[in-house]
Amino acid sequence: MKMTRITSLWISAVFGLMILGCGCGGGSKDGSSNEGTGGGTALKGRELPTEPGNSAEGDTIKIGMIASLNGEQQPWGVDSQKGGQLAVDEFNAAGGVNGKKVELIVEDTNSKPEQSKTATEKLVGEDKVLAVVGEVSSGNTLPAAKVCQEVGVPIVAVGATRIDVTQQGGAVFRACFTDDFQGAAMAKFAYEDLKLRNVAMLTDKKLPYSTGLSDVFRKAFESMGGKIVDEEFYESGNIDFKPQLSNIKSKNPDGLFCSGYFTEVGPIARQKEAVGLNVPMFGGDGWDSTQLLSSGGSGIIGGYFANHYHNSEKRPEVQEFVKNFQAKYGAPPATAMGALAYDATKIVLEALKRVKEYNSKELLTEIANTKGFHGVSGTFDIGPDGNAQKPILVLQVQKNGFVPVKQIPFFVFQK
Amino acid sequence: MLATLSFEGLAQQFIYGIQLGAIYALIALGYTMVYGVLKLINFAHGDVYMVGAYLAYYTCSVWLAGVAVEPHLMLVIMLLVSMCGCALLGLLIERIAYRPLRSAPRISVLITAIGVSLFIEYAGKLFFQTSPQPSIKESVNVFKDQIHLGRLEIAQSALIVLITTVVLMCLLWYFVTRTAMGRAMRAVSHDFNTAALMGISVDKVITITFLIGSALAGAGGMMQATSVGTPLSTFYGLMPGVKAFVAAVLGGIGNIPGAVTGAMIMAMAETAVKAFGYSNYTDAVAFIILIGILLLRPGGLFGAVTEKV
Amino acid sequence: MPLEAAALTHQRFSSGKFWLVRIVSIALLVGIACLFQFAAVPHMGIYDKRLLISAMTFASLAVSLNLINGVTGQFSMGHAGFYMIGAYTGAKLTTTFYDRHLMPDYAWLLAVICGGAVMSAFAGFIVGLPSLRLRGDYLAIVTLGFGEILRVVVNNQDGGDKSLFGLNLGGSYALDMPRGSRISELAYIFVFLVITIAICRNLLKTAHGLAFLSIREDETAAEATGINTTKFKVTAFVIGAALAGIAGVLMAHYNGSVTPNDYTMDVSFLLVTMVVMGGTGSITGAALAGISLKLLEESLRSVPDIPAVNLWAAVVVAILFAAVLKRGGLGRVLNAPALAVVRIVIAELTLLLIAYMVFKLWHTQMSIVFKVAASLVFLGCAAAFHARDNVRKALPTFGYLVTCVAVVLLISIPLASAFHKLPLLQKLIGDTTYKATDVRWAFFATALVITMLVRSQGLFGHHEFSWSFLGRSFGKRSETVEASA
Repeated sequence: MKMTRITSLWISAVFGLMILGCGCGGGSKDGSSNEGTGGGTALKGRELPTEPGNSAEGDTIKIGMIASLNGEQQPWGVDSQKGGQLAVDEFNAAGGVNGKKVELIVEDTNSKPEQSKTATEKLVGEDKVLAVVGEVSSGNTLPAAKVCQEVGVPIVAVGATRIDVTQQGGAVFRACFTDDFQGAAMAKFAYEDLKLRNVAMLTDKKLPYSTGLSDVFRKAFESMGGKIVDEEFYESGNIDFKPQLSNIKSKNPDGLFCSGYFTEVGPIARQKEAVGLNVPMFGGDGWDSTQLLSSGGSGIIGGYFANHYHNSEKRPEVQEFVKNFQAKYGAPPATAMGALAYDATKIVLEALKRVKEYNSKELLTEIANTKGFHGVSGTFDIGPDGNAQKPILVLQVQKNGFVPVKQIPFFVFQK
Repeated sequence: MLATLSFEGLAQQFIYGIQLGAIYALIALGYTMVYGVLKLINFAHGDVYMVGAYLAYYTCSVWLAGVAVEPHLMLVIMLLVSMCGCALLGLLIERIAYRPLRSAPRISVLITAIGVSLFIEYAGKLFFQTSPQPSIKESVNVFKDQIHLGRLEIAQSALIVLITTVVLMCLLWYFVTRTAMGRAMRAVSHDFNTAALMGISVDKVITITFLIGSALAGAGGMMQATSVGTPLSTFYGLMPGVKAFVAAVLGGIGNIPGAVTGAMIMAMAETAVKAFGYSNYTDAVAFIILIGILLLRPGGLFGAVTEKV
Repeated sequence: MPLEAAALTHQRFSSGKFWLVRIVSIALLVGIACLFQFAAVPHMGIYDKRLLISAMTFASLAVSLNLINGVTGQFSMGHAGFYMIGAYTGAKLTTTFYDRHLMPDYAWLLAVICGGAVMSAFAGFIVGLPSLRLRGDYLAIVTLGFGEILRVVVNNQDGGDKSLFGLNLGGSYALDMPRGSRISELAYIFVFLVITIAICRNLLKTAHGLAFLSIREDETAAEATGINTTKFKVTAFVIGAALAGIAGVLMAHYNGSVTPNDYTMDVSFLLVTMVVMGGTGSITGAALAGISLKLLEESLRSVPDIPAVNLWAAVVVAILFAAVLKRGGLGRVLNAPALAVVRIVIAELTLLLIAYMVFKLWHTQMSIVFKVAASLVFLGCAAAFHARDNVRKALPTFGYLVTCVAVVLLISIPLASAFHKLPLLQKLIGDTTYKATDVRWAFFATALVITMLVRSQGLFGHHEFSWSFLGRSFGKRSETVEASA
């Protein structure tokens, strides 16, 4: 018995050492590494791709789309596929461009970055698409963006809000706003409109989206003079958040910022009630789902979140989109990704109308020149950094649905 | 971080740990029963749990659509539907995928189990609604109020889950150790061929094991989906399945009280890590504790120690 | 181990011939790799390259896991962890130091490979240690836990205040490598695959290799005969982990970024699946299973849209067929001597059918890699059918299955219109059509289950692939030639 104890202790000790070893062997911390949120040293401005990309042959113009049609992010992937298809169908029904029809080829990424890369390589290498639309999550968009940048095919990300995605190069654009803006806008909203001073954060450590958003929110909120009293973590797929919420409660915050997806925000809201933490919750566009109310119960009522648009907005683009989507698929889009994918695809299609020759290079230039684009998620330009510069709509969760409370115009947050 | 925790805070966290442990235990019981008899890690168990949650959702959406039933009775109906549906599913899986491989190497059956699990996860979306992800409304859960014990609180629903788990564990334990079928089960678990020679219908025993195990997973899925309200997807059972499997191994796989104890330890470890403010390392620390325990007791807490000479 | 023990292995050689064979095979390997790199690669699209690279990477991962799981019999479910350590070590080294290096790319890659291999080997050593005390599923859990711990730790390393030592691995997002550092080539991965196979195969040819096998067969007996089981188990873990680490480095340098999401549990499960499907302990089996599973996964992207009713009918029939066949009753009837002629006819027809399918495949838009792979599979089927008795028996069964499915598919079309009237079934059957992306993974899983049902011992069982059946089909007995150098 004595022997076994000693062996076990020894093994545990070595195990500890291994983690240390990982730390040391992984590379020394030095100045050349970038500071801030992830990323690498590759981010040196937006260089234009050197390769020419693909060009269209025959009477169809192929546009590719990558989406998580399987796996954990399937709900968003399916929505973005529907949105993209709707945009293409409307475009073709209106006669296409110059007698040519557009074909949308959708490939599945299975919610995995490496598969996302494979799917993009198939679209770009096999199907010779002129442009790629997608992905919904930042983690899956990065490898796809790398491929597109290398080959010279423009890519318009649907929902990748991580800041560094578009810094991959001049071929990468996005139809959504960035964490930089979203986090800062929510911090401003919390500080100025909700008058919160001590906020606790709950971050999904498994999601790059959530960690990035929390990061920016913390910086922005603290720079305004607010205080982050506590930050707790969970991983998507967890079911029990009471210990974290209980910890947060002991810090007496006056607001709770949840940067995760609605799949966990709902249960968090229910458990928040159970723990007795009665403060308003607020968060990012990951909250947007028709199911938030039923999964969140009474705890979610009164929460605020940033979003790109809302189904009930009076703008004609929104009303028409919702009507057409409903007609085609029998239900309104379940998340904001339907509208964002519609917009992302439409940015490509609008650019197609302006090009003289149907090849990736021209298309890329025209996408970069997008000005005053009338999308479902607002009227916006594509900035020199490849990002859509558009306002945020803050929605409040009420008993019967979401209600727009404030629009925050685009601004640049200086760290 | 440590200083901020009062004694009451700790006690409250302890209660949270037990609540989580009860859910893990329900799933772990099914794992452990199947393993005890077939020596098979039934990877599809977590997916059966998922199906249980979905069945509960569909049952209650029928109710919400206008069929007038008393709410408490409704919960019972949801539970029954989930348990029966999952039992059937378990039966089907065993018939189609595992029974033909009775004489095959164990690891091949394991791969089949992985295949079945993948199939349910990926083909499940052809059957179940995944976009938008449905979730069971809070109003269905009539036991959402808190019970106050001094300054501590425990949710009624959590208490119900806990009591169900303990009762089920006792029933199972009684069934396995005190009834004829249980004896047959233990015999099959001990030695397949000899048990068959003694006139035990091995197939029947295994079928019953799968029925019970899957019904338990269904119950777990229903209770969890109702009380927590996580939006359902076909991957709903993935993480709980893995956690429960680990818990079952920790307790000594094949051992019924072991599964519950293992689940409790697992849940306690997780809760403790979160309570002490290291929630970003929850799973890592929980697994390190697990490895530590397994190194000290290689057969799990209650398992037979299979140490070499 | 004394040298005499080498005589135990059935090969006898003089040392001169030994070295000659080695040098020639190495030269051949380098030659083929160069030919490949300079003649074939420039004509390939990025997707073709990707297919080959991921197939070969997973083949080498499966071979390295086979050393732990198949050969030594230690149930490891954390192989993705070693793969991850290699990838992250390589990526971090390159991100940190690449700008300043003064070496040519291949030399830098070699250096990084050494780093990745050492880190992974070290992790393998640590994970191997519990195998002294734990067996079977308990070891599986510990290795699974190791993979998870690693993933959680990496998730937290984003250079913020929650990371250990302020280490920046990009957290849950990605470790993004500099643009010029995609220095891994297809040829390197090809050479690595062959080297991995060679290492494992040569290891098993020595007395040491027998020691590994003996642990799998009976650990107590192995120990009783004086084998230091501890040493060999840990060695298996170390070698397997180091090889996986190298695969990780190569893949990271081909991809240009690494993400924790690519090294989750399901990668480990997939690897175990490859090992088992190839036949536990069979090196060539693992390699072939790795290649074919990865290609299968990708080729399913090109599945045309399928009416739901056809799909479900086919799936149900296939599963029932496999299950019933396994029971024995039907199998006996099908194998009755009276039906011998029918069997041969059906078998040849099946071969023709496969040939036709391959022919059709060449006229689709699919990648050349799939076309070549499908043709190779067909040639293998044809050759094996004419050479091996058990395959000759299996092929007619496949023919029966195809016939059954075809008949059901014909019936299913009128059935579909009937089902169409039932509102409940309409969503499932009715006139629904499934897109390839919807059913891709379900297909994959079904293929997995059916393969295991039909051939539970894996592709090659405990055996290795050999060319001997070709010799036999020409009516003479040839020497056993190994598949690899």
